[in-house]
Amino acid sequence: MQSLKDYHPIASLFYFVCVLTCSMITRNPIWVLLCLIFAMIYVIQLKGLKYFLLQVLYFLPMLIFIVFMNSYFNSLGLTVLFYLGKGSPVTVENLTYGIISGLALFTILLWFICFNLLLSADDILAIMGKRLPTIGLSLAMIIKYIPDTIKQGREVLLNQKAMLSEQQLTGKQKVKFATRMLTVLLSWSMENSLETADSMLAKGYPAKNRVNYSREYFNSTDAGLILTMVILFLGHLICAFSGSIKFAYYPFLNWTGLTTNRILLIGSLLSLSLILVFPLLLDIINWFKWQRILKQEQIMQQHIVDGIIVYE
Amino acid sequence: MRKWSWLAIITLISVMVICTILRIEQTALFTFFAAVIAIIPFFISYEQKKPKPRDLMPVVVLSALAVAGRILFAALPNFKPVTAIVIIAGMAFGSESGFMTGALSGLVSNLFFGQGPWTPWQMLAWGLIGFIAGILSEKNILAKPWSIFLYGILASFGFGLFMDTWNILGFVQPLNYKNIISAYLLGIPFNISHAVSTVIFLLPVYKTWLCQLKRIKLKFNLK
Repeated sequence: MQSLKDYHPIASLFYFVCVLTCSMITRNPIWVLLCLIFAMIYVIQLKGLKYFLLQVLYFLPMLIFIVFMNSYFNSLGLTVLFYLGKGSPVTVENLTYGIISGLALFTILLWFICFNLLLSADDILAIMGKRLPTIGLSLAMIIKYIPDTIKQGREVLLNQKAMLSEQQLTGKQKVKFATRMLTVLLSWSMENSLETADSMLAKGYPAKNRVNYSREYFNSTDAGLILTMVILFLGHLICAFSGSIKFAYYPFLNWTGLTTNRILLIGSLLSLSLILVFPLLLDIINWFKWQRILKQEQIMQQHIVDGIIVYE
Repeated sequence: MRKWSWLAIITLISVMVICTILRIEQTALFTFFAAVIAIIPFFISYEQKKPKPRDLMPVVVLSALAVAGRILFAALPNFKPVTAIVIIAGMAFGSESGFMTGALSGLVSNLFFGQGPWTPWQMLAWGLIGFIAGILSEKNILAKPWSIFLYGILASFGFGLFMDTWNILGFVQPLNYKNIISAYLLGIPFNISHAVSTVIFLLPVYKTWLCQLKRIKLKFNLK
């Protein structure tokens, strides 16, 4: 079993699309919290607890903003808690809605952290490259030119400074200096890149049967992942939109769909949990496999006497 | 293809409006994917032109400059040269190149700063800034320096409003005018910082860069 990272970028991307959709599809607190917990576990597993706590700290202002926006300006909800200044009453209902939708946004941000760790720039290029060759090429060249531009910019700056020697610049001269530096930088990068373009043309860029090297191969495991996700995801969509997870915040907190259809409810919960637990499951299976290999190696070690395997 | 692009933008806006009016629970989801889909017609139309390597270069170089600038000034909050460079790209090389410069700068700079739900919105916002700059300069509206600066300031504020919209529409319900206005007002300090940075970057370069880019365009016969 490979972990999610080792799948083809398309398969990983598809997984993230599924997970993001699941996280945004409903504001039912149970569903939001379920997605949040798994996103949390996954981020902690990938980056450690400290990183996760830092993210929580970064997100707090945004959470406060969302809660404030939801509760200060509307008077919906029946259970009044208190009055905030001259604004409308803060009720249990609009406070809950604010917190839950804030947490939903946090879940999405956490999934994107995982996305950034699992899909590198290379993978994004690989996804783009086949279907949108021109844009994929442009992206690759932009990534290549960024360090080049910064390096050349430093060089130009040093050159221009050397010409000034000890001279102190006034405000207007500083603007002029910056202008000249940027002008030099632009013309260098333009002409340099056009040279590259010409050599690309000379090496047969427009040829029809160009092949490009790709490290990724789409194989049956990737197809298997996508198929599994499609089935689980469709199952979840059907169950979710059947109304069983409908949750009304106003006028009072009420899980309106709870009494409709238990089977669909459980189906929806189950399919969501399966989708969410999938990468963790892969890692756990891998861990156990690795432990088994280690154990076998230990047993083998006992049989080795003076570098020779001895069976008794 | 320009027709499709406009259609995509109109679809995005109507999805936003309909979701808000009907108070749909999945507003965040629908508007997010509508934004992703709205970028596609622009990309496809660029792809279909099958540009020669030479004609790719303006977009590539200007995006690289924009991203490099954003990385260098990353320490200052919301102080980005990208808007200024995208405006110049749109003015010098036309609306499609302007869109591509903006969209690709957004995508690539987020490879460094981390992708997030903001990526499609940034790509679209910067892309449209370049696109509109191209259209305006075709109609000779951006001929005067003050009009360029005015457009830069408006574009920066438009960018900020556009970026805040998803957070507000998707996660604040029910919306009323008080909500919307105060949420946008809270974003104003960031937008001012952005507008200032745009003007500061436009100030030294707009004249010389435009001249230079036009000369290069003529000299190398770029499209």
